[in-house]
Amino acid sequence: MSIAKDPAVWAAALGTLAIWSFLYRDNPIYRLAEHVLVALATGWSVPYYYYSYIHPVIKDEMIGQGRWAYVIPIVLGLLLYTRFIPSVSWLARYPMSAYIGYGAGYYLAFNAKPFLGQVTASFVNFGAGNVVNQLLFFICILSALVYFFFTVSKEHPAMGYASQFGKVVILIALGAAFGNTVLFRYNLFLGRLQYVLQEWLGLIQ
Amino acid sequence: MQRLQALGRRPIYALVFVVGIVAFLFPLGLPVKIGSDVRTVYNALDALPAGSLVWVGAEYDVSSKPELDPQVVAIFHHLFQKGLKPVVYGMWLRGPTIVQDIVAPIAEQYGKQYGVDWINLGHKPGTTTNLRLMTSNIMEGAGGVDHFGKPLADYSIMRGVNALDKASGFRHIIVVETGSPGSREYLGIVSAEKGIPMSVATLTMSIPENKPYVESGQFTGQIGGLRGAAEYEILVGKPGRGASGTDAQSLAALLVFFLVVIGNIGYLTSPRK
Repeated sequence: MSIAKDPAVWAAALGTLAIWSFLYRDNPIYRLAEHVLVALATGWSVPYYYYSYIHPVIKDEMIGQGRWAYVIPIVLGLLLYTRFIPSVSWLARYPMSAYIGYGAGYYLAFNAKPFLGQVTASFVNFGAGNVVNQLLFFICILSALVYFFFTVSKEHPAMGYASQFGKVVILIALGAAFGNTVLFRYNLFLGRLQYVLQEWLGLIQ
Repeated sequence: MQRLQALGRRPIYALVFVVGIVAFLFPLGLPVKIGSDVRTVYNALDALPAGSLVWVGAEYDVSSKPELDPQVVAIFHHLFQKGLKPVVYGMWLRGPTIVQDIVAPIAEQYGKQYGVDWINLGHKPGTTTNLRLMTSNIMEGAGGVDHFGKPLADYSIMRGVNALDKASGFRHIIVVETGSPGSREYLGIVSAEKGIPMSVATLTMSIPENKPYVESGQFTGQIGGLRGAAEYEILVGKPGRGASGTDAQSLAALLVFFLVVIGNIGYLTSPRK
C-alpha cells in the first residue's frame, strides 16, 4: 500500500468520496463537491468554447481570411435570441426554418443509404448462413412491425397473435438495452473505484 | 419474503461496493472469451498493410472515459504495433484532447513521432457539415491546422492526404463514440459514400443499437464497453484496465441478476401485488 503524494490525486479521490456520500443521504459535503464541480466545469468551458469556436471563426477565418459569408449564420444564430423579446419574437422562426430545412436535407441525403442497408440485411438469404436463425429474425421483425400497425384491426386471430408476439420481441429488445445500461452505469462506478484503490491508496497494481 | 420489498437502497449500494472492492483486491482471473464483434475489428486492422492511414473519430467526452479510455489504449497499441498511421479528429469538443493525453505516451513507447507516424487534427466547429467537408478537403475542414494550431503543411504524414477517402490512403475508420454525432453520421457521410470500412468502439449500453449495423455488415465490428476493451487488450497482448475490471463487472452482473430475481420473488409472494 503506497498512498499517493500528488495533491491532484488527493483532490480527485476526496471529490469522488464526497460525491459517493450522497448514496447514504444528501449532506453538506456532497453539496460542496457538487458546487465545486459545476463551478470548475463552467469556468473551464467558457474560455475553452471561446477559443475553440468564437476566436478561430470570427478572428482567424472571418476577419483574418475575409470569409464574410460567415456573417449570415452568425446573424441567424443571434436571431434565435429574439424569442426573449415578444415584439420581435417572430424573427426566431427564420433560423429555426433554416435549421429544420438543413436537418431534413441532411437526413434525405445521408440516411437513405444506411437505412436501405438495414432493410436489405433483414431479407432472408437461403443461400448463406443459418437459415433457421435468419427466419426467426425475419419473423421477429414482421411481428414487431405488426404491433405498430394500427390501421388494421387486431381482432383477427392472425393479427392478434402476431401483435402479441411482436410485443414480446420488443420487450426482449428493451430488456437487453436496459441490462446493458445498468452494466454501463456500474462500469462508470468501477472506473472511479479503481481510481481510488489504485491511484490514491495504491492497494492494487 | 415480504421484507424483500421493503429492502432499502442502502444495503444494495453497500453490496455493490463490497463486490467491487473484493473483485479488485482479490481478482478471480475469470476467463475472457473473445467475441466475434471484437475479433472482426482486430482482424480488419491486423490485415491492413503497414503505413495505411486509419481515421480515428474521437467522439466522446469525460463522462464516458471509464469505458472508452481502455478501448482507445488497446486500439492504439494495435495501430502502432502494426505500423498503421492514425489520424485523430473529433466532432465532439473534448474528444481529441482526451485522446491526445492517452495516445502521446503510447506513441512514445513505440518510438512513433507526432506528425510523421500519427497526427491529431483536433476538434473543428461544424460537426456533420465539417465532417462532410473533410471528405472533399481535409486542409479546409481542419482550418489548415492540427490540434495544437500548427500548420498541417509542416507535417510529413499529411503529404498527399487531400481528403478523407481511399485515394488519400485511408483504409479504415474507427469511431470511438458516446452518442450523436458519432458512428451513424460517419456511416452516412463517409463510409457509405466513400466505401471505407468502419468499426465502432462504444459504451456497453450502446451495444444493442449498434448490433444491427454489425450484422448487416455496415460496421466491420464493434468493441463494446469495458468488456470489449478487455477482449481487445488480450488480443493485442496488453492487458490493462479493461481486463482488470472484468472480474468486478462479471460479479456485478451476477449481483444485479440475483437482486432482480429476489425482488421479483418478493413481489410475486406479496399479498399486496
